[in-house]
Amino acid sequence: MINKDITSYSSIFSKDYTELRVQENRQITIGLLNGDVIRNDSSSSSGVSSRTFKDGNWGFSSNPNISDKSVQSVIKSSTDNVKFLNKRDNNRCGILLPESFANHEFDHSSKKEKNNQKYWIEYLKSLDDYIKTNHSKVTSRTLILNSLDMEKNLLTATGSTSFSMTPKSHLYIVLSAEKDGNPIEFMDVYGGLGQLDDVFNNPKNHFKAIDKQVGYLIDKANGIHPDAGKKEVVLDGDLAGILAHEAVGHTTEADLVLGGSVAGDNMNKQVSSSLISLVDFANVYQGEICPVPVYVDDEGVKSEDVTIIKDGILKSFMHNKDTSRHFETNPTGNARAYAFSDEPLIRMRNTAILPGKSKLDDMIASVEDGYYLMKTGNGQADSTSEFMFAVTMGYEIKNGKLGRAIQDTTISGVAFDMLKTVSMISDDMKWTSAGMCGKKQPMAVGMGGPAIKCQINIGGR
Amino acid sequence: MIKINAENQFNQLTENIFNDKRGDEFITLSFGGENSHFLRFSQSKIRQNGRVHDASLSISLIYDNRKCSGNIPITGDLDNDILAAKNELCRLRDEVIQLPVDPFLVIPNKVEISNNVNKGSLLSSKDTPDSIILAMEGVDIAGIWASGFIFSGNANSLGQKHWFSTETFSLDCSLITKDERMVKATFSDSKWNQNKYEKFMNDSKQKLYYMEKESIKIKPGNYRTYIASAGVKDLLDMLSWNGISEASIQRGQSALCNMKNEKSQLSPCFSLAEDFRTGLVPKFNGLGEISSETLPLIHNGILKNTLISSQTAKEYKLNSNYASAGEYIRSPYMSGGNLKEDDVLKEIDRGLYLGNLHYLNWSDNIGGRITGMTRYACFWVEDGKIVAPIENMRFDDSLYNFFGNNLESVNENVIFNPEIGTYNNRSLGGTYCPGILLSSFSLTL
Repeated sequence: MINKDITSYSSIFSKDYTELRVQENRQITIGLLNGDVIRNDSSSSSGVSSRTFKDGNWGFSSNPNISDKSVQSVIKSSTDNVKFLNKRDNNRCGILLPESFANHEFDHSSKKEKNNQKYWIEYLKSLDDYIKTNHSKVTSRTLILNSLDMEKNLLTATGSTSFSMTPKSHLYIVLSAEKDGNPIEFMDVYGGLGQLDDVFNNPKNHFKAIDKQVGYLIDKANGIHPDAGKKEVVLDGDLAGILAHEAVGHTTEADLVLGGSVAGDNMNKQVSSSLISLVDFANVYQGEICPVPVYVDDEGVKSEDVTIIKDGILKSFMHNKDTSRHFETNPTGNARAYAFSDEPLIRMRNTAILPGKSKLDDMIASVEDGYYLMKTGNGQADSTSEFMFAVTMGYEIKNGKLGRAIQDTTISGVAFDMLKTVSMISDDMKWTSAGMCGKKQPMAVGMGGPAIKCQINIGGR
Repeated sequence: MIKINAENQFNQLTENIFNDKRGDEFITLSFGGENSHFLRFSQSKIRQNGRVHDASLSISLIYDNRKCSGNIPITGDLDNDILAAKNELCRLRDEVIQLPVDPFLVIPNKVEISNNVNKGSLLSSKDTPDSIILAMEGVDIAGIWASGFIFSGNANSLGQKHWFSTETFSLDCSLITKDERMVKATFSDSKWNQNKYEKFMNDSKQKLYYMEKESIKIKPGNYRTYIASAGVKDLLDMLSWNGISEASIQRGQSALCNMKNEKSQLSPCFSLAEDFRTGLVPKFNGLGEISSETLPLIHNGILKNTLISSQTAKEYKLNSNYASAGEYIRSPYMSGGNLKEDDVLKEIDRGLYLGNLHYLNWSDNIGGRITGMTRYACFWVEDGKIVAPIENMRFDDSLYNFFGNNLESVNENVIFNPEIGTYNNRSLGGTYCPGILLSSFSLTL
């Protein structure tokens, strides 16, 4: 636990705009391979950083030591660093950042008594035993339990203060079966916001989901390779979520817009079917806390929801203070840093396509010849909105009915083209926060989506 | 922490922790960190000037065939750091006795000592802006400069001890045309040479000349293609992800299963080795095991060795070649061929020159198919001359084609492509590889 009270350090800020962040990240990873413990690690990384802005330039400094002397030293160093730049280049003299003021404390620590490593290893072993006993067709079992606590304490020269303890915990289950001597693998992920003790209560709670996962695995082992080409598909919520994040979200981060992303030329233009609305939620969706809630960002700005696409029209970008100044708009509270030694960058929080009015069953029934694509392994997208995602589970759809499962494949396309083909959206919503987004730094993010019916390029063999 | 006391601090930490060791315990310490200067710039102007100090200590405790490990930040305050490390060791002692036996536990039995200090000749942070910015004039350039001291140590309670430190710099930038087409450029070394830098920047600016031309859209299909060294590096990187790892092969999840099990071969022009003679990365792994200076992986198209960690060796009853736990290639070196740089365009004749590839991913891991984008300096070539840049295209092709049947020749120049990642810490090392000329390369979208 880091020291919560850092407000007294404001007295040693220079007269320039300064941010001070004290942060600790803690991780636990436990892994089991076919019942044997293969990983049991815990780690913590902590330190202090300071960032100072003056006349259009930034100075930054960080140190793992959180003593008073070290805090003073990083504040002085970040101030000296920006002064050094300003001596060389005073062309942007007088540029000011938008002022912001926010105070918030968010502590999602578990109130329960903390279980030890032995408990969690036994927890995984119970799951492993269940799979081994009940599913003889499973030839290999890997179970990974991972938790990440991000604890931040922020103070800015404009008086913003924020303490946040944002934990996430996930259980990754990777199962294999064999088909004609070849291994077929299927991974599913469980968990979300919270520390291990809050997210995982009883191994028995997972048994039903594991049975379902094994069912998918066996279907996949007997599955076919899909036909390559442009197909009519129903993308389930997991895939719609990653599409929202990777293929659309990144293009609307204002720093990438300044770097030439395709979204830059499309503000207030039709970029998708009018059925599509896409929002980067700060912390709450329909009264429920999001998987990665951000109340105040790492520049001390109150985090607001950003409606990126409204009824098919591109409406907003995500901003930090610097880009909001450039675009003459308000900062949106998207500036986030992963580690104490990282500078805040524009990052998404909880990006989701909003649900529609259709029922998933009706969407599948409306497809004559296509695919229902359910799970994704990984993926990435370009600032052109060109994307490629791995698909790890899906079924063919023939005459409106689910047919044979398909083996691993990929989907690709240009998001702003593909989203124009969306013709139905389901009325439900799935959130996930298992992966980490990469943009020079890793970052915990939430992604959400309903099922969407669209046309997409599917890889074959 | 400053560079002169990092090794001393590691020595003090190891001495104090190992003095606390109890009879049957086996302790491994891994120490790493950096002291780096960063500059972020856009429109050829520096916009952020930063300094990062970071260090951490990982403690691994083995007791009664059980193992656990923990990682703590190292602040530079020695007394507090020793206390924190001892507290972490106590926590691990409480934990380890609760754990089940690890059947794949590896306890190194060799006692080796190494000390590899690579002193660089770096610009001072004060001199850096003037030294790098002047050559950028006249062009819109955005990117990151990183420079400084990186260190890594490993010791165990048997007396094994390794130290590696290096001083390096890297400039990772994009040169941007008025209509936002880009040339990617990376400059890295351990010794600053102003003339070399200015030549690099001038060469990069020259590439922009071709990017100013109106781009052409080519149709999906198979094209005669030259992939420059930076693109080949991206293809080789994929072999560290369900590729050359013996564990991946044993689990049937590797693109090289066909080479291992079916004896498929790549082109005789293709040779790849793990080569530590470059001295860019530590030769020791997380267990403190020292790899051999060179290990041929694929020689003249034939799979000679996979990367086998001691854990994998124990699990599958093989001999370890002291690979890292993740069995990725730490110091890749692809051999050059006989294609002269000056002949590249002439040899393409009609086809594609791909300067960089981007966002690679397996589209069929077991089948060896990789997909990704063409990006930055990629051109259409006719009659041995660059005609125009091409619009970004998606490729999807198998390594059994581009490193196999379709590999026509390999450039004689083996170029160093530095790792410029900043995830958690500044990355070390890089990939030595030449460009490759392919009779056919598949663009799909």
